[in-house]
Amino acid sequence: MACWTRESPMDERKETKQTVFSRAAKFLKLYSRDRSAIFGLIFLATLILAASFAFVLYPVDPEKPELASTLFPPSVVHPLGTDYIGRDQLMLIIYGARPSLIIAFAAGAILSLLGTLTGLAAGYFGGKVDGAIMRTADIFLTIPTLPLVLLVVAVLGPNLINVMLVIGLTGWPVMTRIVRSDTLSLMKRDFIEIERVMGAGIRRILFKHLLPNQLNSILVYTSLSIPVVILTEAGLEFLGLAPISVSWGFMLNTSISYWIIGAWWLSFFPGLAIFSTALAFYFVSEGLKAALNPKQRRRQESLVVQLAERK
Amino acid sequence: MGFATYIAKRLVVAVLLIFVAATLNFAIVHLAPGGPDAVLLNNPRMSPEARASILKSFGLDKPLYEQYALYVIGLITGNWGTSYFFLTPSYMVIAQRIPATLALMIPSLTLTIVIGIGIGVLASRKPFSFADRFLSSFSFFFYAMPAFWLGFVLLTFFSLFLGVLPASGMASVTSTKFQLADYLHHLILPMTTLTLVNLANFSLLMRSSLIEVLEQNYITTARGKGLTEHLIFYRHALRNALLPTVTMVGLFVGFILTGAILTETVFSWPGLGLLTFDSIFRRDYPIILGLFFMFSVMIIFSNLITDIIYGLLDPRITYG
Amino acid sequence: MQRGRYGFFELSMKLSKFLTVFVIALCLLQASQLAFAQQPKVLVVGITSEPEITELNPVRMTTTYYTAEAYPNLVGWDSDGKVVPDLAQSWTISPDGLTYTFVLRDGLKWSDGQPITSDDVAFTFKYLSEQSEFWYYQWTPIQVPASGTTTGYTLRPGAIETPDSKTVIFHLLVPSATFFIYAAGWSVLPKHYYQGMDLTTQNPDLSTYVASGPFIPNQDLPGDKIIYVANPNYYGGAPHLDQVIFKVYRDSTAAEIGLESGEASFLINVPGSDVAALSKDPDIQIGTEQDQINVYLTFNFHPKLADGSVNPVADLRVRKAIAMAIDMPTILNASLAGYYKEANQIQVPNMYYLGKSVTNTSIPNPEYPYDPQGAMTLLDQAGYHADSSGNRMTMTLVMASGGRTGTAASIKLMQLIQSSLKAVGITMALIILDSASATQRIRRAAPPKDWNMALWGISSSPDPDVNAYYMVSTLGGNGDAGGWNVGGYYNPLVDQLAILGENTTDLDQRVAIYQRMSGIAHDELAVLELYYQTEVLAWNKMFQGFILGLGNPMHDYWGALKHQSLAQVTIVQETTTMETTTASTTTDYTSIGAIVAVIAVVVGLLAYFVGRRSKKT
Repeated sequence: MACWTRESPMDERKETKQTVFSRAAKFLKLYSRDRSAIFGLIFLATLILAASFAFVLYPVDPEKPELASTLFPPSVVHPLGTDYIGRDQLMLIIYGARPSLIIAFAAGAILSLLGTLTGLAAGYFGGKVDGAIMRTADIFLTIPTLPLVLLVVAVLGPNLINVMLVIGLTGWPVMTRIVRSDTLSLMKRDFIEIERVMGAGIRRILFKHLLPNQLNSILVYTSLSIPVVILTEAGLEFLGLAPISVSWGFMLNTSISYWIIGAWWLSFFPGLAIFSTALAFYFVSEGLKAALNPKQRRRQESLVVQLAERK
Repeated sequence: MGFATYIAKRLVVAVLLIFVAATLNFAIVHLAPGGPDAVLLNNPRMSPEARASILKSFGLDKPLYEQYALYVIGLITGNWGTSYFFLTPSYMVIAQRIPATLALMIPSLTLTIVIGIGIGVLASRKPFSFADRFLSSFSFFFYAMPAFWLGFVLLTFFSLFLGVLPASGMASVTSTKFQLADYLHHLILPMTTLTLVNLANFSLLMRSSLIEVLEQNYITTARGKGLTEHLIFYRHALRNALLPTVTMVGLFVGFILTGAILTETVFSWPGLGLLTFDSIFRRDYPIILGLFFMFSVMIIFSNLITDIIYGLLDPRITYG
Repeated sequence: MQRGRYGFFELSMKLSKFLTVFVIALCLLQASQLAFAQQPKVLVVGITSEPEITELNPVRMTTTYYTAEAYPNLVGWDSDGKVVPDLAQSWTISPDGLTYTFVLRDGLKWSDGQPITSDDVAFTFKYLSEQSEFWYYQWTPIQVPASGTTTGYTLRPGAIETPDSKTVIFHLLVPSATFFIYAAGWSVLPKHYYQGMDLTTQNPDLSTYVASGPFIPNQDLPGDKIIYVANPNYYGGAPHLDQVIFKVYRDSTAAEIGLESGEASFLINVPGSDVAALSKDPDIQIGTEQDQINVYLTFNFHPKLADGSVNPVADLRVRKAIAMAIDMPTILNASLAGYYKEANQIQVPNMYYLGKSVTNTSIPNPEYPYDPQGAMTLLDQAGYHADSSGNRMTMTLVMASGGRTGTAASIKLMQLIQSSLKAVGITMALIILDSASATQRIRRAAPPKDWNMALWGISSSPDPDVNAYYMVSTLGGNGDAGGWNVGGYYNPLVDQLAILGENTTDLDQRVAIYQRMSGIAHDELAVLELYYQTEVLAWNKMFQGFILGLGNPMHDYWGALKHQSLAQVTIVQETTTMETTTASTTTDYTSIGAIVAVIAVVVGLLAYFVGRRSKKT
């Protein structure tokens, strides 16, 4: 369903004189219609705040052992119990949020950037460029993600940068497809033709027209791919390739040995943290989707198909 | 162009893709530190002659381009090298583990599809009703859950705590031949884990495509014609809504491999996932390369078959 | 638009029928478990790392964990370290140390019925000298260089004499301190089976495997288990059990669950911290054996690291400070729960040469007293002053997760050491890598390496030469890339002593040499000793007859599983072996119940909250 108009949607907005404030208000209104999205946002905001001010909340070295209080079950003093060298688990969860969040955002940014650029290029240039980009994307899709990430991180070493890069670099094909199809449909619109006739350069068309109109869906799909980033990174850490020892996946890894003693809280809470964060991002992305694309009916399956292809 | 040409074209592209993927794998393996040489020449007291003979027997004394050529030819002819760890041909090691993975994946896949579609159907009846919301949230509740964590929790509860289900393996230790009851007994936990985690893929998809289909004009028309709801649902709506699910099944092969690694590790299920994990950590490169090659082939061909089926089923598709 | 409830009822009926059938099937399965009770008599040994297939290959094996059950030696060692007859009923060594004579027992047979003769013994040493590049050096006294063999050596003509089918005579050219142990303590291989087999490129076929021990490997299911079947031809009489199965578990926890549920019968490598929980089970018995494994922290001795930065631990004062900053007894106890011996020197305490201990008793234990103040003074003297936040230097410590030194206890130990060092101003970054990466980084990388300290370990044969050579000498490239002296510690005197030790046979002199080496290594802190490993075993009381602590001249052994012990093991009560029993752990049941309730509530809440208020968009 194309809109037969001479103007780009951006211009539409200018025409109806929507100010930034009224747009923001509308956004919030649409977003908050989804209760789960609100909760997701609150959870994430709390988590990010806690992680950023972890040092204020717990002004100790997170790796410092307290031999006197090893393996305490959850209690009032230690709401999530203590671990095998006596560290409070709540503190560990908060400190452990940092690598997860950093990798989530960084890898998300990488795959989003890469995907957007390649998608734009594929959609705009078409032809051979399009073919080349899509074939490359297909290659990345045919190699199963986790084994490849495992292999590369195992061989190159499990530090923060490697993990970020590898997860980001294996995740871009999904974005590419979405951006490409959006670009293609935008390209069909009149206003692009007009721009071209008027002699506008690539940069202008790309960055002033094509990109801004897609920012919404790019944002939505980026936030949608973050849960998978979180789960992949947790999986890596669980299998032993942890960038930092104070991280949720690695806590799960070391907790196995203490199972037989009955220390269930060592594995329960880190897993719960991973799960809740992934879920929160998922809710937020659903909320963003509702808020940012209210008028466009996207075929729902493309959402889940993208979901599926990422995992 | 016609259907046949389309498929042929896709085949050619598929082969090329596999080739490039295989090259990529080769590059990663041989260019990284701790490559094949380091793995094999383990013993510090090894004499130079022994070193040379071991390298020779694994073909590592040849120049890199020659190794590469042999590798590519080998992939096609089925000679995937000799495993460093097992000292048997890679393809034999891999082939031996395939049944175990299939024995886990096929029941899980079937259950996931059946339950997933079932949930999707149920959820789509009254969209946004409590039933719908419960089922949908049930689906992505488990979707967001790390598979290994869920596996653990189930393992702790049913094996450690209740003691009714076994903690690991595919069959009990002393059984020498296949026993159905024993196999099923060991299958329950890993299958449940895999199914729960992958449900959302099918249920959400089914739900949304059903909702969309049920709002189409031809459904309203059918109702107007006086057909029973039952008939409308099963003959018209469901069939059309199933199409995207077909795509999903094709993609599912990819998830299977990721899911396999995590689940098989937790439950010590002796299949391909465990082999992948162990081989990567042991740097058993011939097996790693063989496995990745096989995965790529499986994924590409399942995509291809999905495309074919989809093309045959959906009359709206044209090939240009 | 009316959406009828078409089919909903039917669908949910179908679903609940399916579930009911499923649940009934589950109950039937549980009942059918008892049908598994008619078992052959099987000892299931739970192991936590999959053995390489080469471990059953006499030429390529690196340990005797899996051949000690199948291949008796000429002589054995009992739990007190005394030499006892095995395949050989008697032996003599000539006064000049050049002639060793062994007389085999009567009526020895291989598992396929063929007689075991002196020809087999002669064949064994020729075969291994030519093919076993890992072990050939052990029999240097009877070897000469040769071309065309894998090792470049072969048996010296006339080195082994077989005057009759029961007598084997070894002729040496010069006396050797270690020859007896290495020769008399090695697996005797069947000539008729291995002759002509090139075992460097292939493995023996297990289905036709021939050996002489009570249990012979019969089937290997990779990643799963190895099955040994009983051999009635064993000279000690047919064993009481039918099979021994080594079952591979992912980690010690899975193995322990296996033991508690009755699936596994015998565990090795049990972490000390789990003993308390396991002992609560009345069916489980715990035992210990003293290993000959020495676990230590190695220092990088190059003045500069790979990235060009100064390496603080190359300075003896810094190393001493590190030693003094760690309260070793407390930390060890916290991590290993008493199942260890505190280490203070490079030779393990149960290391003897011909019955005389090589322990240097003048080395204190712990090596250095716990003295953080003294440590900080030393660091100041070395020029590493504390900055405003108390930090003096940053270093890295690399360890492997998994393998001999990489258990959860080790991780805990390293973390405790890390915080001890922090207290004196040394910020130690702990890098935990998987086994292969760690080996690459610690051992195979070319010097100068990129770490300051590494967690390392070694297991000795019952000869002091192993630890001395591998830990602190640079002989044979041992200090270079791939060598076991991963830190590159070099002291020419130590190298000389190592050579001297290998060639001396006089009892007192040799012992003195190794004691002196230990002393020098201690004075210079070539390594920071941590502990000597105690092997913790746990088994189901239903199995009795294990002899713990049997010796074996090879690197690694499980005394209790050596063939003399295994042959005696019986099952004392015929219970339904495979019945699953509820694990007795200290799990807090109410907490678990609370968690289940919480999950149900959460899902319900989610269901309530999720979903738009209105469908219309």
